Parts: sequence; C-alpha cells; structure tokens
Amino acid sequence: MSFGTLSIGRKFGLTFTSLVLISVIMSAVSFLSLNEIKNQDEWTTKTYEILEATDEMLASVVNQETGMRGFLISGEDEFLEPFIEGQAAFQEHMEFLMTATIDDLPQQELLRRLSATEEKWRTTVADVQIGLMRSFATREQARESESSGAGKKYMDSFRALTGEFYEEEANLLAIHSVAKDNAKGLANLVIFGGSSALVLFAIVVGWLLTRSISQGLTQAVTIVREVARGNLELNAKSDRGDEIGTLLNAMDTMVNDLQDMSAAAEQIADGDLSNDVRERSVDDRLALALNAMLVKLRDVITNATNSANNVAEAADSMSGTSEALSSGASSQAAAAEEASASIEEMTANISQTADNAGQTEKIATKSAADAKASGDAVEKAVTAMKTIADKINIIQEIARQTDLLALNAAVEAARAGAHGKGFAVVASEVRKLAERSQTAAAEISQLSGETVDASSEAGRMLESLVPNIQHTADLVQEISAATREQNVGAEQINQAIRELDRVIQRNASAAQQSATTSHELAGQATELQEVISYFRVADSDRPAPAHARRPAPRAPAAASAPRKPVKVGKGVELDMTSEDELDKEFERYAS
Amino acid sequence: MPQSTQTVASAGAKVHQLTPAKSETETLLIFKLSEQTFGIEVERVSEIMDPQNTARVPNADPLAPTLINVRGSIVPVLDLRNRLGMKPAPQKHTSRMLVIDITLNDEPCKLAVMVDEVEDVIEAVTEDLVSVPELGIRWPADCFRGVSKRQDKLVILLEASNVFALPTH
Repeated sequence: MSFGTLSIGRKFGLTFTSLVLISVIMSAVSFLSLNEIKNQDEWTTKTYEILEATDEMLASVVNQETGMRGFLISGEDEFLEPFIEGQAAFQEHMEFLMTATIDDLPQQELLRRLSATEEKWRTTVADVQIGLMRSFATREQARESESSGAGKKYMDSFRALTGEFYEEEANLLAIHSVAKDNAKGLANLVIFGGSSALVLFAIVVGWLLTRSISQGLTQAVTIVREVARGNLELNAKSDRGDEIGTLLNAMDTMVNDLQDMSAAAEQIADGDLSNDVRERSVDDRLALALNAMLVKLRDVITNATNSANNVAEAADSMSGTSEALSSGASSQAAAAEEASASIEEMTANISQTADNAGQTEKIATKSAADAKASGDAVEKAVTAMKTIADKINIIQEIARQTDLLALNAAVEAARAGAHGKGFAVVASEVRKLAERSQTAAAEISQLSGETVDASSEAGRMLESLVPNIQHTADLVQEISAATREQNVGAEQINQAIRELDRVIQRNASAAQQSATTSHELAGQATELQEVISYFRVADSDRPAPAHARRPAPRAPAAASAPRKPVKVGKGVELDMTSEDELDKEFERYAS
Repeated sequence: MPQSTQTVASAGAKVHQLTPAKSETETLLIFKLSEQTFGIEVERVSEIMDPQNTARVPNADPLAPTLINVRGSIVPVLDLRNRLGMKPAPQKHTSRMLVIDITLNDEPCKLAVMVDEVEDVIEAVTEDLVSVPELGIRWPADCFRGVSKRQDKLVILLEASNVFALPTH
C-alpha cells in the first residue's frame, strides 16, 4: 500500500502525525539540551565561586603572611589583625571549598593538603615567629627566621597547591564550558535542524499533497470544463485510490453516460427517431426529457409532415386563388375607376339637379303665391259674376214683366179692334224688345252662371292648386335638400370609391404579392417536406418524398372558383338596397 | 239669338203680309201647354198674369180645384190639362195665368187658366183654319175650333165657349 493509494484523510492524518512527532522530538531534545545547558551553567557558576573562594583563600593566607610580616617588621600588635582575620577567612573559605568540592575527591585531597600546609605554616612558622617577636629579645631571631625563609617553603608549597587546585578547577570549568557548548550546539542543531527538517518535510509533504489533490482536482475540473463545454471525447478513468480517483471514475461513468445520451441525441439529430433512449434511472431527467422529446418530435414531425403537405396543397390553391384575386382586384380597380367617373358625372348631374330643384322651388313658391292671388282674383270674379247674375235677374224680371205688359197691351190693343192696331204694333215691338232683352239677359245669366261655375271651378281648382303647388314647393324643397345631401353623399361615395379604388389597387398588389408569397410558400413547403423527410419517425412510417405528395400546381387561370363575374362594361353594380354606415347618416325622403 | 229674332221678325212680316190680302182675320193669343201650341181669340182674354198664389178649395172638382185673387175679385182656376185630358205637369218659370172672360148663365164672369207659356198675339186669317178631323175620340172635338198652321207647327184653336163652359154637375 503505497502513499498514493491512501485516502486524502489518511494522507493528511499521516502527515500531521509525522509533523507532530517531529515537533515533539524536537521539543524534547531542546528541553533536554536546555536542561543540560542550565546544569552546565550551574556548574560553571559553582566553579567560578570555587575559583573566587580559592583566590580569596589564597588572599587570606597572603594576608596572614602580610600581617605576620607587618608584625615582624613593626612589632605592633595592630599589624597582626590581618593575620588573625586571615585565619578566620581562611577557615571560612576552606569550609566553603570543602563543601563545594565534596564530590571531587582529588580536589578534597588537595584542599586537605592546603589546609595542612597552612596549618603547618601557621603553627611552625607564623605562631613561632610571632611568639619570638613578642619578646623583645627574640625579635631579631624572629626577623632572621623570617628572612631565612622558613615560611617561604610552606608558602611556596601552598601557592603551588593552590595553583594546582586552581588549575584543576579551571580544567573543570573548561570541561563544563565544552559540555555547555556541546549542549548548546545540540540544542541549536536540534532546533535549527529539526525546524528546517520540519519545514522541509512540511513543504515537501504539503507540496506532494497539494500536488496530488490539485492535480486530481485540476483533472476533474478540466473534465468538468470540457463536459461543460460539451466535449465528451474524454477518458477520465483513474487508478488512483483516493477520493479524487473515485471522483474521476464517477466522472468517467458520467461522461460515458453523457456520451450515450449524446449518441442518442446525435441519432435524433441524424433524424432517426425510431429508437427510444435508454433510461439510466427513474431520476434520469435527461433521458426522460429525450424520450419525451422523441415522442413529441415524432408527433411533431408527423404533424409537421402532414401540415407541410397541407401547406403545400393550400399554398398551391392559395396561389391560384391569389392570382384570381389579383385579376379580380384589377377588374375591381377598373370598375371602381369607372364607378368613380360615373359618380363624378352623377355628382355633376346632382348639382345640376340641385340647382334646378332650387329654381323649381322658387318657381313653385312663386306659382303658389300666384295661384293664391289667382284664387283670390277668381273669387272676386265669382263674386262679381254673382252680382252680375243678380243684376241680370233683375233685368230678366223687368224684361219678363215688360213682356207680360206688352202681351197685355197686345191683348188690349186687339180688344180695342181697329183703334188699337197701332198700339198693337207698338206692343208687339215692345214685346219683341222685351223678349230680346229677356233672351239676352237669359244668355247673360246663363253665361254668368257658367262663368260663375267655371270661375268657381277655377277657384276650387286654384284652391286645390295652391296647396298642391305649396306641396310641390315643399317637395321640391325637400328634393333640393335631398339633392344637396345627395350631392354630399355622392361626393362621399366618390371619395369612398376613390378610397376603394386605392384599397382595391392595394388589394391587387397585395393579391399579386400574396400569389408570389404563395408560390414561395409552396416552395418553402416543399423544402420543408424535404427537410422533414430527413426524420425517420419509424422504419415503416417514413415520410414520403415531398415531390410525390405535392399536387400538380394549378394554372392561375384555372382558379375559376366562386368568383363574381366582373362587368367589364360601364359602371359597377351598386347595391342600393342594403344600408351601410354611410347611408345611415342620411335621411331618407320617402315620397 | 239672331236666328230666333229673324224668325220672329219674319213671322211678324208674314202677319203683316197677310193683313192687306185677307180682310177676314182674327187676333189670336198663342200659348203652350205640355209642348202643344194652342190658340185662343184674344177678345176672350181679359188679362195675362204671373202665376198667383192659389187657394185650394176643399173637396172641389178636380177641374177647378183652386181659387185666385185677381185685383180683388175671386176667380176660380180651371185646370186646363184636366179639361183637355192631359197629364198633370209642374209649373214652369214661363208659366202664366190667363184671365178669361166667359159668360156663365148669361152673366159675364172671369175664369183663370194656367198655361205653360204665352207665345204671342198674332193676326190669323180665318180661312186658313182647318177643321179638326173627327177621327179620334181622344180629343173632345167640341173644344176645338180648328187647326192653324204656324211656322210649320200646328196651332190648335180652342173653342172658348165650350172649353171654358164648365160642365155642370
């Protein structure tokens, strides 16, 4: 089991355990080294104290010698104070040194020899000399003893022993110093070396770990990026034992599945809709979606095929229809132009009619007034005639009575016989006159009666004429108003027809365009059919080639569908019976 | 009416022509009744009147059913149509009443008749009268003196004494 096959957690665990172990070792070694240094330091201090004590011990002995010599020279007791003090100091330092070097037997031996030497010097030299000195007589003897160097032998021995002791202690100091230096070096070595090793280890292991994880993750990211980019031509298979290896293998599986899906989609793209996509699980939404897409696509393609066929047929028929519509619209346009011209003519006529109606209206009004005046005149005439008739009746009555009188006169004349002859003639003449008067009066009466009748008739007729004329005038006024409105209406019709003309022309061009578009549509539908035939819905239900199903294009002239025959002659057929919005704006004058 | 005037003038001229030729003339009053022209001697005619208001006599003879007042005297009105066997006819505007002098029981008295129209007073030659042929029984012949031709029309001359001699009951 190599390091590479370990899991990342274990790798980290191992690494950190190693680091901790190294640190602990380092710490322990450092601790021990420091302790050693401390020990050595203590030793050194102690040795320094010993050396100092040795110096002071030497000094105390020297002080004793100096005090003794001072006493020897002066003989004064006060010079003996250093000797006494030196003795005490010597004892004190000797005790200290004995205690301090208790673990060093050779040194103890040296110290005992020093102590013995000092004691020997003091007892055999100093005390003797001092004793000699005390007595005046022996003073010179004491001084001679001193000058003979009796004490020097002990002092030299003491100094030699002290030097030996010192040297030994100095050697110990050197040994301790070396040991301390060694310990320091070890500590330094451990600290710096361990730290360096730790850092190096950390760097190396960290780099290795990072590299391992980063490499794997980079590979994974690259694969994911490639997958995201859509590239599925990848091999993510890895022999790594860690999680990244698992991740990469899983990604490889995913890529393979995606390749399968992609292959299925490519199959669909190639137009093969016959195979279903294998679902990897119930959660495989892509496969489900692809399957749904397949089903939909099959449905859509089938429908689209049918629709395309229908569109092709419809476009063909629409093309014919559009052409028919176009030609119809052209005819319409011509008809609308003619209608416009006719309406303009009609407008002129209506204007003329309106003028005429206005004049007629004036005339009719005047006629009505005239008729009324005539009626009045006739009434007056009738009244006059009636008066005449009355007067004529009087004349008639007078004539009748005259006639009667003349007859009576004739009778009288006849009865008078011959005498009445002349009178008879007169009476006869009178009677004739009366008869003529009567006849004339009767004729006048008859004539006046007839005149009265005629006048009355004329009056009645005039009376009936006046309202008729008035009615005529009113009607003419209405006609005039209606004509004006007609004029406006005709102008509007004209405008409407012009608009219609424009619309029709637009329609014509639109129809032409529509025909072109229909042709294009038919072409597009054929193309669509060809395009759709790319898809294989099922092996059996393969859309037939477009050319086979496409109906033979109809000739544009063949579009003689329910097309209203357009009159090529003058004018258009205007439907005046049905009312439209414009008509509602006008009032209808029903006569 | 110039035509009629001329006719009347020519008739007058004819009368005047007749007068010097024949001495035997008589003056006749020509009147009409039911489109028939009758003549009567002018001596018999007392007066020609406009139709008067008549008073109907109750339960009177249909020959003379009414009375009139002629200047204060009561005169019976003879229904000449009834007398001559003619159908009754309504009064016309030309109708006149003739007051006739008759002798009743040798006493002169007056009688009125309604005629449709008094035409003229003419001189007629007596010899021109033609007797009424005694053929029909329709006409009471004793009432007519004869027939005279006048302007191509026949004028029946009434026998006044008989016509107006009312039959006694």
